[in-house]
Amino acid sequence: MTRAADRVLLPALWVTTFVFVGWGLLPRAALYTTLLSPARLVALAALAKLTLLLLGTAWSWRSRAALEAGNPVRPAWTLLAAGLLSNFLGQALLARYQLAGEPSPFPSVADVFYLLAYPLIGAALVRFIHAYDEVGLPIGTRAERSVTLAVAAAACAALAVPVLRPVLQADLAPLDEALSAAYPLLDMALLVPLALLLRITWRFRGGQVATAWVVVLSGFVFMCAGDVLFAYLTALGKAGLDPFLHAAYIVAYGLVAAGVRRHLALMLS
Amino acid sequence: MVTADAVREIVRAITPFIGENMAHAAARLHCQKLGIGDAHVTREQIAALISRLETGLYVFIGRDRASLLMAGVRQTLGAGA
Repeated sequence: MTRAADRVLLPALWVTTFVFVGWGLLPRAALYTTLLSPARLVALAALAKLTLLLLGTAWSWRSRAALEAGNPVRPAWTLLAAGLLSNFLGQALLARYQLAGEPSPFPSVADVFYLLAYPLIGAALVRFIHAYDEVGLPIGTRAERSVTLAVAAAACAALAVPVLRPVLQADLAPLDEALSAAYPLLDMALLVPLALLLRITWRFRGGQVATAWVVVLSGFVFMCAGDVLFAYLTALGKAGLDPFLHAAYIVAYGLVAAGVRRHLALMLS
Repeated sequence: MVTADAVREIVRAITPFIGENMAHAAARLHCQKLGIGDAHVTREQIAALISRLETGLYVFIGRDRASLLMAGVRQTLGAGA
């Protein structure tokens, strides 16, 4: 089953992504006005996201289970599985509307789960870093890691200004505005441990661990990009860019799932 | 045994997982910590070095697989169990 998943996952991910990018670029093409109507595409996006999040959750959990009790990286897999499950539950709550062809409510209970996913995923990334340090891998001195964290934090703070400006200037209800600002802000916070883990991954270059991490971390970068795009679209009240938003989340969840699967393959092969 | 030969054998085993750069860096770091000189290394030092690097692999492939992988290296280098 897992080998079949390996063969199918990435090609299916790229095809699905291109379908949504195509929809964004050529919305009046015959394909998108007949067979793949907007309502069908929104439903397809919902199913794709649910499937990919479920795979990511299941494979993270299996990675945890494949490691013996007391393994320092086990809690990180537990946290990652919980974070992806939280995103899955948020998506599942919205899927009801998306499959019925109704607009997704915002804000909604789904946002509770989406917001909960951030600290869980962030804690997972930090726990991975601690675990690698704990087992004596040379992942850089404390000073080097501090510099990386400081540079990443400064870059995120600088990025936060242009990202948040349209959200804060938009005429939104207080809760809508708070949530629209919270998502990119939480993404910026997530980018800090992501940057550190990317730097550590560079030290593993050429190994299977590096490949697996590059795929996972690329997924989280796309997730951040999707959230920023979502905040912009909400602030500007534009729906025309929705296809790109769907594409960003599908790529994000797909890459995270594929990367986790590669980690799992290392443990099981 | 010549240190470079032992290190080369260990690095060869772990490189597919953590890459050549990290494998060399980890071996170098643990050689320093264990006081392994550039010229010669004892069987006990090799056993300790293998054990340290095996621990590093736990987080990626689990204890059992890491032990299995390193058992081959121990046998090749005559470093015992």
